Amino acid sequence: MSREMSRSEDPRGPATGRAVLRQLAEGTLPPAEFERLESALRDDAAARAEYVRYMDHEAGLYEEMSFRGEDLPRPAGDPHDGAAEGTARQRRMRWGQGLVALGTLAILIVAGLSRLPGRNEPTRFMEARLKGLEDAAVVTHASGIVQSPGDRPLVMGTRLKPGILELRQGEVQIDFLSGARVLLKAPAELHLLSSTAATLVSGSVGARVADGAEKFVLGTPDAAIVDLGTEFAVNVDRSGDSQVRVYDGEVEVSLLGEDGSTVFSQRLKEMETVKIDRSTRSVRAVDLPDSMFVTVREIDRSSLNVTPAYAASIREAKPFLYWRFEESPVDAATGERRLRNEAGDGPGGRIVVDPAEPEAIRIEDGAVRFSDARKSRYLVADAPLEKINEGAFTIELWLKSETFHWGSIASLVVPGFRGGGDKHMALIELAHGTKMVHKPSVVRFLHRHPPGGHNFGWNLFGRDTCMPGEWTYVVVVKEPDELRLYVNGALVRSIRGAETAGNDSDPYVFTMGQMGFHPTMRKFQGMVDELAIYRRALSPQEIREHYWTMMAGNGAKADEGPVARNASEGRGILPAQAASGSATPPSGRRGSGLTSMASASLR
Amino acid sequence: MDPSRSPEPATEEPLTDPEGCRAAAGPAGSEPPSPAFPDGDPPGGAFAGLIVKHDRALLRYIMTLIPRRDDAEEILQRTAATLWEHFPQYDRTRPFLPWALRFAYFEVLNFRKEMARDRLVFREDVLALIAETRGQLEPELDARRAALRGCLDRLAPADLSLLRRRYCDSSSVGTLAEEAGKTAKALYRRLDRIRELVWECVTRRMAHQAPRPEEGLST
Repeated sequence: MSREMSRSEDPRGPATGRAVLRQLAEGTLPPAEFERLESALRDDAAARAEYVRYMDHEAGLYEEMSFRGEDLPRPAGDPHDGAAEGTARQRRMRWGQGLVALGTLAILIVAGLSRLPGRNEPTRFMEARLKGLEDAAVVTHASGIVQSPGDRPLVMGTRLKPGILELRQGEVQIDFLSGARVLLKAPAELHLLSSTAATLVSGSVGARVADGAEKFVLGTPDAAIVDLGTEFAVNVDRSGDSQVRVYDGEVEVSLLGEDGSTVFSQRLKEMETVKIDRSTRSVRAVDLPDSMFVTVREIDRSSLNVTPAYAASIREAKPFLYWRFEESPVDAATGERRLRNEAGDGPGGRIVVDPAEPEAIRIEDGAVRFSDARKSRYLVADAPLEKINEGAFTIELWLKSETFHWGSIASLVVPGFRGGGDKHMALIELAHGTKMVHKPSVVRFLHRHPPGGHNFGWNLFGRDTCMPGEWTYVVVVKEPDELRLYVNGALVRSIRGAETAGNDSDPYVFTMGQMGFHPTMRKFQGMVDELAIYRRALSPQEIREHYWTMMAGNGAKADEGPVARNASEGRGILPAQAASGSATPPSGRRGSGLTSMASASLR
Repeated sequence: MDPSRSPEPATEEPLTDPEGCRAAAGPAGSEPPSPAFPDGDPPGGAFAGLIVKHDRALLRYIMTLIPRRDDAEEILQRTAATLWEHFPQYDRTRPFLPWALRFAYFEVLNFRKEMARDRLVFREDVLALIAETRGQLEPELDARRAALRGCLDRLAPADLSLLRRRYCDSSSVGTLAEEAGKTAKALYRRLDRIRELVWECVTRRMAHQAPRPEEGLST
């Protein structure tokens, strides 16, 4: 056999020379030499064979040197074939086998355990160290988590930029700003890539992506699951194998190639389950019990605890329309459910739903709940609001969204207009993913005068994200020369000037739950309560009183004062507080009292 | 070409290593079809026994694809964990090693996917060609390993000790040079000479297939 493994005319010598291969084995081969070697191995079968011989020889040297221990006893009765080669090896083998067997097992156990996040280790979120990253998600539920002192707490409301979440205990639910909701159960490791993508490295998640939300991609070590408006669950075990279960809708499962693009795809429908085998790169249908999968937690749907004191304070402010959503009797003539006006001379309303989707709007526990729907569904006042824009007006309500989305909550539109949309004079929305500049999921107050068109209007955006599952108090005030937006009792935006708020004496139709009468646009998903409309501007003092009266009935103490919180939006009502109606929030969630609530609010 | 199938054995022969020597377990896939341990499971159970028997072969295979020792050891551990996960699916009537090598191959690919940016790792098509070539050369490689052992037995004790320090203890050349009172460059040259000597000895034995007992190796 030749001294060198392959011959070459290259002045640098043979690409697969032993010196080159030694450098490769030691990790010191320069990249240019590596490329030359790789080309030779690809194109030259003889060079490839010589390479394999040499690398096996190197591996053999490691192996033999590892076994050529010194002064190891030789077990009695060790068979010996007397061959000259192998003497040193035989000294070690039999003696070592049992130890190595146990050692290997120990290594395997340790290796296995090392891949399991230890329950005693703290849960961590390591934000990607890149400047300029935008928020990707918000924690909407967390329980049983232990974190190191000094780490940013993973509690409801914590914003997450792209990074790595190592969940050692408990569970955490994350709402991506794209609208996807993911529940992660420990032990698990999730890499948040953006508001529309994440990779589950290990562990279990349940995911729900509503119709109309942005496309969400959940990756696993070897596959990608693309939602098609669905609820699904994914497990990734320690070997990297994945199981995917679809609960509702469809997903597209892709096996990824080396370059990260799809090499095989399969569409999964409701209640179908597949296993993605990492080693064989195969996807096959499997029958697995539900207990192997996790599902997302339902967002808290508890109602406000509206005390008589709150209702009295509203009535005292003399709204002309006050919908409390306590009940919705059925109109015998039309079969529609009706809403009663409980103050002033304003109209009642009715619930308009498609017969195929009767649950799209429900009255639940004294509030109205809007669900996602394919068909148009909305509330509408029985009669247009006369002269509502003649001077000042105020619209006051409490809202709780169920997911990050762009949804229209209340609007005043020109009666009878249906041509290509509605003509809005005023609009209150949860703005999310719009083409305007604002934080995700914030309250928007639009005033457009004269109504209609899409290319103008005064916008007032809230400063802080409205958390899914959290009640938020919203007041919009229109005066002849000023527009104001209050969130949770605090003035967060105002626009003053002669052209900001035009007046007229026309009637406007009041609707709720979607973009006017448009059949598909901006369906709000969540709850609304205690809607009041006034033909005057509520004063800042009245707004603060209303806010704190409600907070007092839902766990806050009014005497801790809103003044210190005027610099930003106050805090909405947390689910547990709303549910308990007690004077003190449950310990361990937010601390107690308003101070801790304020400090925990989103900034 | 299906690279995952390239390690399939050409033959299935009975276990030929009466000492239970893992290093001399024979060609890939040469253990008896069943049972793996006629006298009962070895310590750690059937899986540990099979791994103990074949981990060196797995490591050699991995090192052919990913030559850096540390990387190969990491891949071996991952492979062992994967094999443990999939062991319930292992058909004990079939040879263990070819089954295990397929997992090792895909662990190499996974490692490549993770490390390709940071390390010099061959492209996937080149890895497939190497794996295929290795499968074809297995009988020759077995013979070469036997020749290697013979050559090492005849190496001068000082040279053997130096090789052991370098390969077994992973001592750096700088450390070894300091201990030996030599420069690193001088020690590199000596190590290279020893390795060349061993390589040529193996080559010569392969050519003649009949080593002379009195032959010695000396630098």
